[in-house]
Amino acid sequence: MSYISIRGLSKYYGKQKALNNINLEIPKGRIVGLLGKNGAGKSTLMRSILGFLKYEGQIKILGEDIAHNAMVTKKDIAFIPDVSCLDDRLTVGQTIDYVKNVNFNWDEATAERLLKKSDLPLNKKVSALSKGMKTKLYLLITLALDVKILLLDEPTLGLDILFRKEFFNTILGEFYNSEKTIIISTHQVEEVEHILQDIIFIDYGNLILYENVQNLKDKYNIISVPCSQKNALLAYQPQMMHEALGKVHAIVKSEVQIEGAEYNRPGLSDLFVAKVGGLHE
Amino acid sequence: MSRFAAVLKKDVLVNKKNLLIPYIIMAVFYILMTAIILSQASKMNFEFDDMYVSFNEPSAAASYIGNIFLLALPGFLSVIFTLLLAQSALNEDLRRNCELFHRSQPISIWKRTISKFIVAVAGNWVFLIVLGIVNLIISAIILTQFVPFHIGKALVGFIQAFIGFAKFNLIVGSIAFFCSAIFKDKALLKGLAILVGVHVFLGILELFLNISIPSPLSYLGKLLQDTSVTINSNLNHNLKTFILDRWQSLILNSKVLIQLVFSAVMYAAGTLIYKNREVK
Repeated sequence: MSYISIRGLSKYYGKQKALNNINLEIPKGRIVGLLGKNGAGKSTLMRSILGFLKYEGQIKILGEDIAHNAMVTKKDIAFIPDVSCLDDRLTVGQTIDYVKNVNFNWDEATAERLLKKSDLPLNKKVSALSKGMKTKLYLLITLALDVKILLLDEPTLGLDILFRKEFFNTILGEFYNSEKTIIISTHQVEEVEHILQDIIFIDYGNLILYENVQNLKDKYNIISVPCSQKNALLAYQPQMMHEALGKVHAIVKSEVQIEGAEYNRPGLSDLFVAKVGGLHE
Repeated sequence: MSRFAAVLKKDVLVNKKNLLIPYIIMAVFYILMTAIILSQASKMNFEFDDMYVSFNEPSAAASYIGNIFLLALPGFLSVIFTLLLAQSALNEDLRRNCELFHRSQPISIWKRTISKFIVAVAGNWVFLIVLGIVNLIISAIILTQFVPFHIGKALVGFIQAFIGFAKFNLIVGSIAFFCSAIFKDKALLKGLAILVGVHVFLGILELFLNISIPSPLSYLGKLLQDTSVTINSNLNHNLKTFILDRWQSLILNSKVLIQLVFSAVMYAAGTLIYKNREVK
């Protein structure tokens, strides 16, 4: 059984189509990256999964259609949007108490361990916390929930690199196991690509690609040749090509071999630009 | 702690300031009034014993009416703060960018909205009760200086005044709550503007085309009407009848049922609209 099953999902904002007939099956135990340009439909997809939006099509979480059982989403999914979404009228302690008391699946031992590690000031108002501290609080109240699915929608927006690293390390250490699935939407894909197992590319509301990251990377290479060999490279129909430092760099299928060329493994951002951006010079 | 109690506690905490302001205003008012009375009394060489004769006969009425009137200012404040809280009840989380956080919690929309509604309306009922008890104590202390204090009548006066304001707050609070589901900003003002607009339009229709359609604004006026206090000039002699009439007017009639149903419908309609609101 897929943890998340999406069939024919479309979403309109007025006349504008934000999602176009999306079909996805996400199994358990996967860490999935969701990559797209601004306005591509990443947040719309996540918010549809959470039942925050009206949509066409069907979304099933753990086999239950969320249109018929909205609570299943909230019981089995934890969600971290931008961390500034916390209620800044509450104190840290009040926020923890509130989440603890409204959730059935609160794990007190995890919460206490994370609280000890975090140095969060319980009596301080959320509004008085730095963005880094807000992140720690959001992580605490999310990771203390024993849920099967974790959705992260640009959670590290505005955080410095140390907090971003700590954020994802904490999630891997405290949350992830083979029974849980994480979907991460972020623009800083380079920082998470080493933990991603699958990747979804989305553009203008269309699902461009959903594939295992290693398989995808194995299919392509970045080839670098002197500018004089540009035409030879074009013959292999590169996915993306650009010139820099006197060389032409292109993403081509891994079978392509050119004498004297340099080969590098592409990153997810390279592949995203190649797939979504098309051929560029 | 039950999950609903946790939501209610959270709503009280996030609205703490708005719930406390009426208490602060009343405390300042009482301090000022005491200071003014004491300073005037000492300037005019006022003897409290002078009042004994004039208040001697109607002491029961004074105890009763005194506690109704003493609740007038807190009642007025409670209406204002009920409106303020109710008109922002469904929009404040959105305005503060924490709607996503609250909607992510496994609490049904109905529980969330009833909690907000209770805080907006019943939060001010608590204020009225506290002030009513304070007034009762103050009036007991003052009146016993001059006349026999009738605690029973004073209590009835307080309870009737409370019920009057409580009903009024419930109705106007439910209207403001409904408006907050429709409009995301300045909800009550926009709702009232529409009601007045419709009222004027219907008035013009009646004036020029002789078509008479009942105005929603007039209906609301009538719905709220029975909570006003009218004092009989012969109250001293007919106090018992007056009190019974007030009970009749306040709770023992079919209009009360209509008022309660109206408030429930406003709350439910507001929640349904809010439930269908997308969180983008």
